[in-house]
Amino acid sequence: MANPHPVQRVTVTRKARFSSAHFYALDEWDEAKNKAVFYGCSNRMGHGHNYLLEVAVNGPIDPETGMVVNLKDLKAMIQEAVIEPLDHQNLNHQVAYFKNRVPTLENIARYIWEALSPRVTALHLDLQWIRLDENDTLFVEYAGGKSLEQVS
Amino acid sequence: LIYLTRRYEFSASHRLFNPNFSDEKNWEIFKQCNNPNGHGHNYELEVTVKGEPDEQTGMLIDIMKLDEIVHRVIIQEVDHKHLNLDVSMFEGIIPTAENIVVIFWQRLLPEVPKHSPLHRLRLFESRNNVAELVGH
Repeated sequence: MANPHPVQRVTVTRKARFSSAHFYALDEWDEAKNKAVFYGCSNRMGHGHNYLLEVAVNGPIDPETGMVVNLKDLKAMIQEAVIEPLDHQNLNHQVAYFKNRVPTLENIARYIWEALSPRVTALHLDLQWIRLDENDTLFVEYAGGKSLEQVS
Repeated sequence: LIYLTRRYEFSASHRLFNPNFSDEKNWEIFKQCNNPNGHGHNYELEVTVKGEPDEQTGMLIDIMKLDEIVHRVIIQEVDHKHLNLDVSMFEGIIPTAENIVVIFWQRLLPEVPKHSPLHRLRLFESRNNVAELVGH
């Protein structure tokens, strides 16, 4: 069946959820300084969040399938790159990327971007932006250094 | 470049009317929002700042500091208030979602730390109505 708009590019967004533990502290700072900067997040026993991730990819609609990406492939990619390494893990202790980085929402977004980016490129798609919600009151958006205006 | 958004809530009443219009014209334009006794909303405000996170802390902004600014400059001024009658920042201004978001932008802009400037405000008047302002 012929596609009515053969060169139309569309952005597709997929959501995924994971739950992880973390804490914010720098080893080179004493407890008082860590608490002054990171507040309750500095408790080294850790705490956790139910994270919500949105991944937006852009590409041409395949004229044969009518799809930008097979969502089963996008789901499997997010599962492998993000969910398996992070879900039900202690980010400080169990994820090598955060050995020398504080697992803030900002840094977790960068981790996810770096994990997804080569995989999305391999599918001949553009990773447009990601959004990561820590809870109902806080989220970050990241477009790999680009501004959101450039990718929306 | 990371964009960080914090969400706040406040409840306020307001009335949409232009004193230069006749009663009939006010009703025609603003409909039930023109009710002289006012009405209210549970507003939700999304404040987005942008910049590069601090290399050592991994944080773009101290969220407690952002909370303090937004509460001092906005929330405590408008929460459980009548926007037309109680709130000086709306004097002479019709408190539509569009105007509210512009006034909030003007109030927040000078207060937000320079390394993480204001990028976007979204004001949800209800689940159905949102006004959004993005800076350049």
